[in-house]
Amino acid sequence: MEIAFFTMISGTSFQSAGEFSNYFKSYFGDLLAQSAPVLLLAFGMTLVLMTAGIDLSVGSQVALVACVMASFRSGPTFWWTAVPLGLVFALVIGLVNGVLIARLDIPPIIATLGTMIFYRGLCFVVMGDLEKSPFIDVPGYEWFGKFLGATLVVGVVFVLGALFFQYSRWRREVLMLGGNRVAARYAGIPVTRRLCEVYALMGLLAFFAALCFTARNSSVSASSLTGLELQVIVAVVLGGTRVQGGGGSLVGTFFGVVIIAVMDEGLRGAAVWGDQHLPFKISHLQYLLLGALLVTGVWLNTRMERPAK
Amino acid sequence: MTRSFGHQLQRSILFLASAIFLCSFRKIPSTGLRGLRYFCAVPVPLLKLDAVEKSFAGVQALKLIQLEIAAGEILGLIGENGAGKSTLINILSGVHAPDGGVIAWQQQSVKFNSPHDALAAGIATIHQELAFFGHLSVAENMLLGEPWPRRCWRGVNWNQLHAEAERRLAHFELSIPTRRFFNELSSAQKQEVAIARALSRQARLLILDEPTASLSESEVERLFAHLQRLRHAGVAILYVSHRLDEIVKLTDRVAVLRDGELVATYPTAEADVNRMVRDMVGRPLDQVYPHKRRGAFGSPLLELKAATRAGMFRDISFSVRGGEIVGLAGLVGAGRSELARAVYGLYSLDSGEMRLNGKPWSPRNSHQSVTSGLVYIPEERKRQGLVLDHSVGASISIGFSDLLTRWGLVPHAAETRRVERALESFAIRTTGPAQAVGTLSGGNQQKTILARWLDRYPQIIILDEPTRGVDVGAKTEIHALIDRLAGEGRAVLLISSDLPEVLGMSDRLLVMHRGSISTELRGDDMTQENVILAASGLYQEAKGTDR
Repeated sequence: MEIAFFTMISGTSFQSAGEFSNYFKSYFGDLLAQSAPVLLLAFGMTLVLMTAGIDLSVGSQVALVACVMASFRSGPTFWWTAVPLGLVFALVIGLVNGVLIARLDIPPIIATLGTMIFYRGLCFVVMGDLEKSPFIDVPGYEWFGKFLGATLVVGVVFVLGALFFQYSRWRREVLMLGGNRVAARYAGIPVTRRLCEVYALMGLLAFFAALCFTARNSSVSASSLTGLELQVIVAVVLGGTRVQGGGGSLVGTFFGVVIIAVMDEGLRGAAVWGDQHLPFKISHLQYLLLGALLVTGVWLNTRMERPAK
Repeated sequence: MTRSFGHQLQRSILFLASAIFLCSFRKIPSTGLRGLRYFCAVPVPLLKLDAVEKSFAGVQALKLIQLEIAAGEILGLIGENGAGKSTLINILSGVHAPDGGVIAWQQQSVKFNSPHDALAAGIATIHQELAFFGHLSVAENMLLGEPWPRRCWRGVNWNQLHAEAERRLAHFELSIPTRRFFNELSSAQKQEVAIARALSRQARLLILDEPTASLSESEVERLFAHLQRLRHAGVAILYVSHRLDEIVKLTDRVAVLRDGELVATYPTAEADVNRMVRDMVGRPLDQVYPHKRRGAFGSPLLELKAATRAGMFRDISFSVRGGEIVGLAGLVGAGRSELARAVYGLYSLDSGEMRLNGKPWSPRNSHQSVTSGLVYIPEERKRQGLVLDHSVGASISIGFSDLLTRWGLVPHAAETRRVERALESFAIRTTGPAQAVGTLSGGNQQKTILARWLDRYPQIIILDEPTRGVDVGAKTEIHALIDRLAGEGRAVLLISSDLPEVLGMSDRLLVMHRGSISTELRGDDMTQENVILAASGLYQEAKGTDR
């Protein structure tokens, strides 16, 4: 529905079915490649919210991993230096969040707010004021930014991940500890370990998100991707996951991301048509709509969840 | 004639005098002769309950209570769990309104609509859980709900506030730094602040509900000294406690509640502990328990030697053998649950050792316990046992589905089969495994938690208050289940405050008192009277005087 809606806004008209299908393909390819990082992170964020936690540091994590990878020398060697090290590094910074939250009992929102600022600070230490782009010269790297690569990464993570998740014991443990931490401990669930795993997974996904992002944008600076965490959280909450923990759905999250991505694309399309007619820039409407969408979405959700009186 | 006139005068004077004397009792305010009461020195009850009753949802919690408390008297109120003590306290403190009867407060019939009314009338209650703000200072807590001293620009005059709080505390010979946060005080200091606050509002009757549950010996002594001083100042005190030793030491009179009835009141000096216990129990075991005592047990599965954790329990040694049900009785706060949690791996020991199946046992977490065949069923099922909006099926399979997993995945068919088997064999009444567990009755929730562990075949099962808040039918089923588990050769440690239950179910009974096992009861010694004595730490003493 949204797709139809925004196609209408963007004011494109099609002469034939063939043109439509071409447009559709490029539109979706673009959409997916564009929103691949958000999709990947939203997957992890869904799990984090299920544990009744939150991870505000995802934007900084992706940026930091990208910055660390960008500081390696370009060329074919990049594949066995920067990429595996980036992966390990991402796991470590995710695990740091996990340890802070599970071991040291810092409330998730505070712990990840701290690491969000800290990791961003590290980005500046690593990069300075430069903007680096070693990714262009890495053979085969841009594949991750194209439709096929992005689809494959997202598809593998989402479909296989979601399938495994759905039927795993791990999911039940995560849900139980999110629903009632005390009861989970009494039920013999290794709560600390599960929490660390969830945040480490978030780090791993941040690595893949960094891969997709750098492949598409081909350059990175210390201040890239600020505000990404907000988009991710909005998408997950819009997908119907409760912030109180103990429930949520990955399919819902997928649609949450799609809604936001479609809105973005639609606005961009509409800007071409509408900017000369309006006293403001249409692209500036983005945050307005995002905020309104979030609040209405959650409001509708709570209305539906509330038992009939 | 004159003689008879003089005679009549004499008689009329006598009549007048006696009328005035009687009026002083009946309290006719217009006579203005209340002073005579003090002159006559006849004790007048400060509070008088006449035929007060209360029922909850058809269950009679209090039946026609007649009770008097005089100024300057300490009345002890004792009774088993569920005897109606809390209901009585709640009526006096204005939390509940009585269904019938008259409460006469200072000889006037009163109706309290809220705790505030009761407090305004001069009845201050200190509940077991203190209602204070931990992150406010002592002074702020002391003067909460009163107008605070202000400066000319309406800001709080903190110096005056603290000075006032200090003055009030000093009045009770307490020196507690008023600028400290309430949280930072020791339990005894908190208790003292609570009393000082209650009395600084001109309370004439002070109700204390289990005030010593978290106090050490010396702190109890100090509290008692305070209470004695208050008594001399004319304050009436209603002291509610499970600890008979304290009742004997402190009170002037004792009132015994049993099943909502006031069965006896007598001066403490006339009563000995054995009589109190007899009055509290009063009835034989009226329930049939499935457990038949067996003679032969397996090898010890769980052994503790001098296990100690500071502030919780100390020097605990016992063992539980296969097929044996060992009861663990004691008052709330005696350290029973803490002990169980330490065995389960939620707390570590400071010293001493534990053995599981003969091997040294020092669990790092509950996960290790569960995988080693030791499970614990917690006392608060809603807070510690379940996620209320999760399904019954998920709540059950969380206990054993890790045994079924292949590559981390739970085979759906096998899981469903086992969940259904568990639902059936534990007779859990649901509309299906998908029903939210929070919508089940208490008994079915409890059985859900028990069913969780079925497919693990745990060797050691610790049950903490397994039938609290459970209806009679489910209670019987749970008892049968516990018996079945023991019959299969598992070791069961049963923690319960329900005396008939813990006596009826166990082969042996350990009684904890203030963090250590005071007594082990076997065979014919396992009686309610003995358990109550042992839980107050009076068993040896009472048995000594008997013989």
